Amino acid sequence: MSITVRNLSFSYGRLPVLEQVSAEAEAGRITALLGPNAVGKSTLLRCVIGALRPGAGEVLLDGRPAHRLRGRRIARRIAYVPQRSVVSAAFTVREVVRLGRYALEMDEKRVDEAIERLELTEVSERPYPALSVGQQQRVALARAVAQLAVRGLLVLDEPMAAMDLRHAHNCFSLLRRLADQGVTVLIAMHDISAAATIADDAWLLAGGPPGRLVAAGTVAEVMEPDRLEDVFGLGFEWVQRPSGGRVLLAGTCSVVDPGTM
Amino acid sequence: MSSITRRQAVGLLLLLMLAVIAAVLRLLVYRDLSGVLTWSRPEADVAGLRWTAVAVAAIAGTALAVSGVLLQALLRNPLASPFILGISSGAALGVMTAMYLGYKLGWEALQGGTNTGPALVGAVITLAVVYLLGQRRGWLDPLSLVLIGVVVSAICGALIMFLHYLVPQGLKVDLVAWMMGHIPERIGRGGLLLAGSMAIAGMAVAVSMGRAMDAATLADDEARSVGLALGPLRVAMFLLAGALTSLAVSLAGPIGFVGLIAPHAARLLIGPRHGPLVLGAALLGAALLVGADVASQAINVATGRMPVGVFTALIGGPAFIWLLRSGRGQV
Amino acid sequence: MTLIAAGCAEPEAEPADKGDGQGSDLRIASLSPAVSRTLVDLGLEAGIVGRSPFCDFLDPAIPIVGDLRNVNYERLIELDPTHVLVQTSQKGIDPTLRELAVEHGWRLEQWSGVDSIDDIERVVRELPAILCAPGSGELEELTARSAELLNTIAAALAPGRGAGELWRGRTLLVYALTPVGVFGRGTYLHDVLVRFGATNAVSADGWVELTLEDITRLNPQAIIVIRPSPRGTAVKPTDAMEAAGVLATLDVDAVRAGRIEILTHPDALMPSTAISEVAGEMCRILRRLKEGSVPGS
Repeated sequence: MSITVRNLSFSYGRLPVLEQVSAEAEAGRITALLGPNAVGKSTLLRCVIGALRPGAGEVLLDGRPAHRLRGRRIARRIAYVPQRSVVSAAFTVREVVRLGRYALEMDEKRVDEAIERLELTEVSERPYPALSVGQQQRVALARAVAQLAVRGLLVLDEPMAAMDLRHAHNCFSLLRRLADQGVTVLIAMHDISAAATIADDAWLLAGGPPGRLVAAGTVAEVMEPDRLEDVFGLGFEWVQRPSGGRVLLAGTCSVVDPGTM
Repeated sequence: MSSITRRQAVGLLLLLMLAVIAAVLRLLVYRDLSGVLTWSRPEADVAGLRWTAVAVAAIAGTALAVSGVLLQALLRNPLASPFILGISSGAALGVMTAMYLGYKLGWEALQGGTNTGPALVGAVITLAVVYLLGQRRGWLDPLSLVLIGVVVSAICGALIMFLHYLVPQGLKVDLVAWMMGHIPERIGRGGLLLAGSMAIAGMAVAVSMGRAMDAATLADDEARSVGLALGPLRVAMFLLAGALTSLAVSLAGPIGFVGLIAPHAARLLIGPRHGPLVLGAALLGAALLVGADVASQAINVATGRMPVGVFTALIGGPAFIWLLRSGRGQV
Repeated sequence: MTLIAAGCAEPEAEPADKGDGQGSDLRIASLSPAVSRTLVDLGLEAGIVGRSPFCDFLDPAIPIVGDLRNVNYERLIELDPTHVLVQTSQKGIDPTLRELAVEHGWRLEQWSGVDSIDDIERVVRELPAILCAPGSGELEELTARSAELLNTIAAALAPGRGAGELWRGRTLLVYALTPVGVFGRGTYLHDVLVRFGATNAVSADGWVELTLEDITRLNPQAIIVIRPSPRGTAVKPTDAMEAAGVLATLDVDAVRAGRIEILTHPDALMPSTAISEVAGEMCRILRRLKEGSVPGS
C-alpha cells in the first residue's frame, strides 16, 4: 500500500499543529517519522490512519482518501499501534490479540503466530492489566500483526518506548521481515540512531507549532548530521562499524582508537 | 457471538439457578399481618400476585443489569450505573410533576394512578436531553455524557425539591415512597408482556453487540483501526441502556445498586467478554431484585415492609466496597 | 418557659409573656393547618396573624410564616405573635423556635402524635387555657365554645344516627396506592368508622402499609379511598373503580360487589375539628354502601 501525503495541514480547534506536509511512503519499505517532541508526529500518524480529517490537503492510501475509510475497510488495510495502548477490561493477552481480528475472519493460527513472534506465549493467559508497560506494548503490536493484511499498512507510534533492548531488537527484526513481505511500515520514533539502522526512508518534522516537513527521502538523504543538528539541537555523526555498515550516533563523541591507548 | 467457554457455561448455569431459587422463594414466602412467616404454595387467589411480582422484579432487574454492562462499557467507567445519565432523576421529576399537576389542577387522571407513565415520560425526555448535549463533533463522547448526566441529575433534583416544597404532606410522602422502589404485584397483562419483550429483546441486542463492546475497550483510534464503527456503536449502546433503564424505573421506581453491582459480580464468574457477561449480568440482576423482594416480604420492619430500594442499597453499598477493595472492581 | 402543658401557671421569663388573655390581643401564629382549622371552628379566625402555606381556607391576606419544617423566623418576629401553635407528628421542638419564643415572650405550644379522635378533642379542650388568662372572661367564653365544639363533634360521630341504615361490614380505609397505605387502629378515621358501627378490615395500629396479597387475604367487604379534593374545586363525580386504581383489580368481596367509595373532603387527611364534616361524608358513604348503590354525585 502506498501512502501519499499532499500539502497536509491540520489544527486542533484554533491551534495549528501541522502545516503543508507533503511526503510519500511505499510498500515493502520501513519509513521512520522523526522529529522533536510535540512537533506533530502523532497527529500526522492519526491523519494517515484516517482518524483525523485534514484541515487542508489530503492523505491518500493507494489513491483513496484515508479519512473516508470506515469499519472493515480500515481493518483490512491498516493496523495501528498507538503510543500507549489502553484496554479498559481485564482481558487475557490472547483475548486482546484476538481483537485485531474483530472485523476480519477469526484466524486462531494468525493469533498464535503473532503471540509467538512477540514472545508472549508464556503470558498469553495472563490478564492484560497485570502486565508491565513494555509487555503491554508488545501485546498491542501482536494485535496489529494478527490483524495485518499481506500488502497492508502498519502504523506505529513509538511502540518500543518502554521495551527492554532485547525485545525492542526483536520487534525491529519483525518489522523488517514484515516489510520484506510487502507491508508498508510507517513508524514514529524518537530514537534517531535506531531509526537510522532499521528504516529505509525517513520523514523529518521540525518547528512548530505548527510542525513542518523539513525533509523526506531515504535515510541517507534525510539524516544528514547538519540538518539533524538544526532540528534537534544536538550533534550527530555517522560512524563506520567494524562489522560493516554504519551507525548514526547522537551527541558529541570521540572515537577512541584502541591503538593509541 | 464467539463461543462460550466451559467456565462461562458453568457460571451462567449457577446464576440461572440463583435466579430460579430467588423466584421460588418469592412464590413460597409470605409474612402475614401478625408477623408470622409462612412457607407454602400460594393459594389460587394470590398466586397471580406473586407471579407478577416475580416477573416484574426479574424484568426490572434484568433491564438494570444489562443497562449497567452497557454503560460501564460505553463510559469506560467501572462506577457507571444506569443512573449516571440522570435518567432516574428525570423519571422522578416526571412522577413529581404529574403529582403536582394532579394536585394543583385537580386532574383526575394524574391523581392516585400508577406512576409508570409519568416516570417513563420523564426518563425518555431526560435521555433525549443528555443525548443532545453529550455529543462532541457530532458523536457521543463518554466524558461529555458523564458530565452532562451529573448536571442533568442535579437540575432534575433541584426541580424535584422545588415541586416537593409546593405539594402537601400527603404527596410528599407519596414521592418518597416511590423513590424507595416498589415491585408491583399487579400490572396489566399487556403491560407485562410488553415490558418482558422489551427486556428480552434488549438483552438479545446487547449480547449481539458483545464482540463490538469488546473491541470498544480499546482506545478510540485503536478501536477504529480494528474496524469498529465506534460512533454508531456508542449511539446504540446509549439508546439501549437508556431504554432499559427507563423501562426499569417506570416499572419499579429508581432502585439503585443492581445496575452497578450485577455487572461487577457477574464478571467474577463469567469473565470480561461482553457477550456472555450480558447474559450473566441479566441473570444476576434478576436474581438480586427478586431476592430483594423476598427479603422485603420476609423481613419484619415496624411500619410495614422494607422498600426494595432500601434493601438493595443497604446490601449493594458494602458489597461494592468489598468488590473494589478486593481489587475486582474493574471494567 | 413558654412551653406549657394544660393548666400550668403564668410563665416566669422576661420579657413579660404577651398571652395576657385579652381576646383582642390574641395574635396567633399557626404553623399547622390542623391547628388553624380548629382555631377557625372555635371562632378565633380573627386572632390568626400568621399561617402555614397549606392553610388555604384562611384569608389569603394573612401572611405565611411557614410550617414547622421551614419557619420564616424573620416574618414571625415581625408579626410578633402572642402564641405560636403547631400540630405535628414530630416529637421535640425546633430549638431555634424555642429560643426565639423565650426571647420574644411568645407562648409556644406543640401537639405531637395527634392521631385519634380523642387526641383531636384534647387539643380542643386545651386551647382555651393556653390562649386565655386564668379566671378571665375570655377563658370562660372560649371554654364554652370549646365545649360546644366538642358536642358538635360528638354529635357528628354519634352512633345513633340511623345506625341501622349504615354499612357495618369489614371496610378498608385507603389513603395511598403505591404502595397501599390504610388507616389502622388508633387513627381518627378508624375511630369514625368504628363509631358508626362498621369494622376496620385491618387490625394493626397506626398507618399500615399493605401488599396486594395482604389485601386479598384480608378480603375487605368495602373499600373507601380517601382522596381529598383541592378546596374550591367543584367535587366532580368520580368513578370509584378508577380511583381505587390497582385495588379494583383484586379478587376481593369489595370489588366483586362494587363496594368502592371515595371520600373527597379537602380536610380528610388532617386530624382536626374538620372531623365532624368528614364524619358527615363518611356517614353518607356508609349509607350508600348499605343501600348497595354505585357511587354517584
